[in-house]
Amino acid sequence: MTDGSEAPRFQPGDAVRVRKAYPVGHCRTPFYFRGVQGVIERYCGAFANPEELAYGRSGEPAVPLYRVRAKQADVWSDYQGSPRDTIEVEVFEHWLEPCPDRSPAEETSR
Amino acid sequence: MPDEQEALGVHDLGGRINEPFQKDEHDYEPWEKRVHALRELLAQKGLLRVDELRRGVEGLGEAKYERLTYYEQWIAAICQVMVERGVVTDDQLGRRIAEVKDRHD
Amino acid sequence: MSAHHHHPHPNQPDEEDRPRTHFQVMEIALRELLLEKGVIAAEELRVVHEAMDRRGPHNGARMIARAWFDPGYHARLREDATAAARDLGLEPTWLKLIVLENTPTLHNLVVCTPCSCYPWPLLGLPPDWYKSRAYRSQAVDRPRALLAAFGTELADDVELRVHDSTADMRYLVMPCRPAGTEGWSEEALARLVSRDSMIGVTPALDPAAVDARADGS
Repeated sequence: MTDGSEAPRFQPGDAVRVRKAYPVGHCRTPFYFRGVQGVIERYCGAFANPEELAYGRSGEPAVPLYRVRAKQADVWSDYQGSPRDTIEVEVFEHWLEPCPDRSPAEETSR
Repeated sequence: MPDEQEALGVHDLGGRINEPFQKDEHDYEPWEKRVHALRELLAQKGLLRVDELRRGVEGLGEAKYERLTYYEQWIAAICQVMVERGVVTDDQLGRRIAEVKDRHD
Repeated sequence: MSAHHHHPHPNQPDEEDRPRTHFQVMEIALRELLLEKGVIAAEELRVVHEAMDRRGPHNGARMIARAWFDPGYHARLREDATAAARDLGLEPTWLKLIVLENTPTLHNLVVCTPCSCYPWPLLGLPPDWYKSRAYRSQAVDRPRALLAAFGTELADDVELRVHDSTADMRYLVMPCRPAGTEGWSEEALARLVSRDSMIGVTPALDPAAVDARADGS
């Protein structure tokens, strides 16, 4: 088990984008969330990679897992609901890239 | 981009299903609870990761994914993984399934 | 949903339980093979069944009611919800729990779009509708319409926050404590915390509909 010596790349509040990628195996990053811009809500810890566990492999080294928050209006082009509505999804670090052009002032406060 | 849809997993349902939501529930049947218990015990013993189970269910393909009930999907996937891991052979399983059927016919 | 207080011995065929489908046959076949090979033991299955029987929404309700009643426990729940569950003697085992607190301006809703992950130790087995294709799809893209199916309507100035349980975390919603419950005992408060309110499709139960005197029934 990884001792967590690799520090998590992202901090709560960081603006991130979920990568668009199309792997063929067991993937837990929902299709609807790929390409979405959001912010890190929290770092959950490092966990064995499900994409590898699914095939009987160890999934090590453990991968940092985050909860990413986005506005529903940024996820669905035809979202019917309040502009305040949000969605939070658990996303592994290798699916995230920094998004520095996004203003933190736009974020919904907790 | 239309081709993106080819990359969708059968299980990846967020925002895809327009059929009306039904607030159904049923009491779990004994065989369903047995599947659940079996899965938990195998997981405790390190013989079945939840991720393997999920991958097995996803691998059933679209038709079965839509048609089979939840625990039908689970037992099918658990059997698949047990054969993959060599806990049982497919031949053993196939013969025992036939024998159980005969027992109850 | 009635509780099942009887279940057949896992290693003995139940007369009323003839397998009707190929998959029911599959379950019997695999279980027999695993028992014969010594991969699993009947006693082990029995222990798992008993643990399953102990699970139900009463577990989650105890946690929520305790948090409403006791600010110290509420703080504990916020800091480490899994440890807080253990504090009550619950068996979270593998659970990595996050409790999502509703407020007058924030309503939380839980779903698992890729499969139907659920905090079983605290809520028991999930209802069919939670596992349905429609729920898994519509909880993320049209959650307000979905809540309406449960009679739950939120004002436009309330943020509806949906949580997709895609990886290792599991979620329990803490509904708002209903008004008019000052002085209620913890036991009475627990009776207001329904399974559906801990998933997030409804608020807690209306106190007027529930007897405040905890008579144990």
